[in-house]
Amino acid sequence: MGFWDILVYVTWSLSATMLIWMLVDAFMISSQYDEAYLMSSREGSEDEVVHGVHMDKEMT
Amino acid sequence: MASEKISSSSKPIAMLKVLNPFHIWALGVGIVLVGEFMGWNFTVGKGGAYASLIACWVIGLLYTCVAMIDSEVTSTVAAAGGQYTQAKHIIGPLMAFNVGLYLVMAYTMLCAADALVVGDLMKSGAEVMGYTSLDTKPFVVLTVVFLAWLNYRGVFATLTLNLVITFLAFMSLVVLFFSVDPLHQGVVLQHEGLLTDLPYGWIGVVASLQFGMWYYLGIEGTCQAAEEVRSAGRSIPLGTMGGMMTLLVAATITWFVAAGLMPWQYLGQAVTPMYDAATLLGSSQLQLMLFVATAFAAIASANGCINDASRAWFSLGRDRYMPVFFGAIHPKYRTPYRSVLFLVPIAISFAFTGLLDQVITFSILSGLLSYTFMTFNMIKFRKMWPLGSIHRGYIHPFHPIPAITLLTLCCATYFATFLGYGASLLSIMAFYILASIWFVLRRYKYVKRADQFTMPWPRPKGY
Repeated sequence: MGFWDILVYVTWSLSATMLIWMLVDAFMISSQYDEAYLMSSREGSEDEVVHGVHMDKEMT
Repeated sequence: MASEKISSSSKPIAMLKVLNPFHIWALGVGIVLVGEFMGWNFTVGKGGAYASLIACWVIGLLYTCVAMIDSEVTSTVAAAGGQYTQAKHIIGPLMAFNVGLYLVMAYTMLCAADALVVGDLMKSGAEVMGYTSLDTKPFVVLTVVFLAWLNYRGVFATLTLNLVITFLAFMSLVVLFFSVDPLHQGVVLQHEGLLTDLPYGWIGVVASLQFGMWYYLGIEGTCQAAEEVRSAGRSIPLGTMGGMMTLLVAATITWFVAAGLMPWQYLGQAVTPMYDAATLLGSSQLQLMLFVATAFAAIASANGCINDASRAWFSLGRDRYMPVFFGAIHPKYRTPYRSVLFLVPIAISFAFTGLLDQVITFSILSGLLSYTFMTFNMIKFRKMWPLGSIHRGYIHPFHPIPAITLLTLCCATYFATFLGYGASLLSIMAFYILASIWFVLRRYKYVKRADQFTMPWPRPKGY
């Protein structure tokens, strides 16, 4: 078995390891956390920064 | 069991705001720069070297308009989803759904094309070393999976990697430029002998506009990071406009070097023109540098595409335009992890078709549809929220000239695409029309209309 054959096997193995890691982690998160919490993000919810704030409100 | 789960605390989950303008630059330029290493040169095949230069600057103008418009609107709509979110707030749900779909398709297909390029580069490298039967599939899969894994685990590391490899790839073009003694014509560069008149006349120039998009396609992706960047109103315009300036320089020096070294008949169909340029210079160090830089550029592009496609898909899910399941955020890494995972098999499936040119054409046309939307979006945005009504981090000058210019150039590029890929153009239009019908008839009933507008914006003028 030459270098390139070994490299191909290593490549497949790395891909499979990372993919399985992500799937297992995603499953664990789903089993540990409430769905409502995982999906509670809202756009602009932490953006009291300046974005979209009314000019009158900003000036006061 | 449900009661044992960690449930919502008083504060809802959110993505981390950890990015700065350099990350935004890396996201935008990273997606695009691979086009400087390959693809742009098909403009030369369509209309000759001068047509390619005209396309470079005309399409550069198109993207400058895109960058200016995007910067202004995104500096107020600081949310993931970018143009999708803009469309949702400014135009309406059907437009938003379509724009979201354009974004997901454009970036996922571009990611697949980039992974194919990495696979092909590995095969070329193996051939140089004497192994001629290397299978590219494992390298295509590893590229997509590794970058998805990186995106899954956090945006900071993902875009810091992009910053490093994009900068190195850009610097390789600068090094190549100075290697050809650019100030002394005839020593290395042979523009006088190689540049000809327009071989296909002005219709060739128009036809070259389609491939001119390769010089800049994806720079608009910077606004997908709006929800994860500190001070979005400042960082997004800085990163986007800085990225656009970088790309204008990179595109121009790319053309200058390649057109001065290769005849247009060869350059117009070369697969890796910049690597070929380094080969012509006879320096093995330059060859190696360009080989590595091409791989870096393709990886940076795929990385940015996964980042952007997942944010667009996540936003569609969060607003229930797609199943709400995809609107989840990882409690530890604070990334849209389900969207990242979902797009992995799709990108790999596109890549396994092996149809690089069709995949790229679909990606380009999806991008073009998105730019066309921006023109109407910008006009309506200024009407609904005139200057002074809300805070803008950036105000683009000469409105409405950039919007009108953008629409005009989009129409010219549609015509150019029709000349070369008429069937693809029509089939892509048909796909989006069918998707729109599906959305109206089957999906929109699940959308909670009030829940999708949580930005603290004032009521628009006239409402």
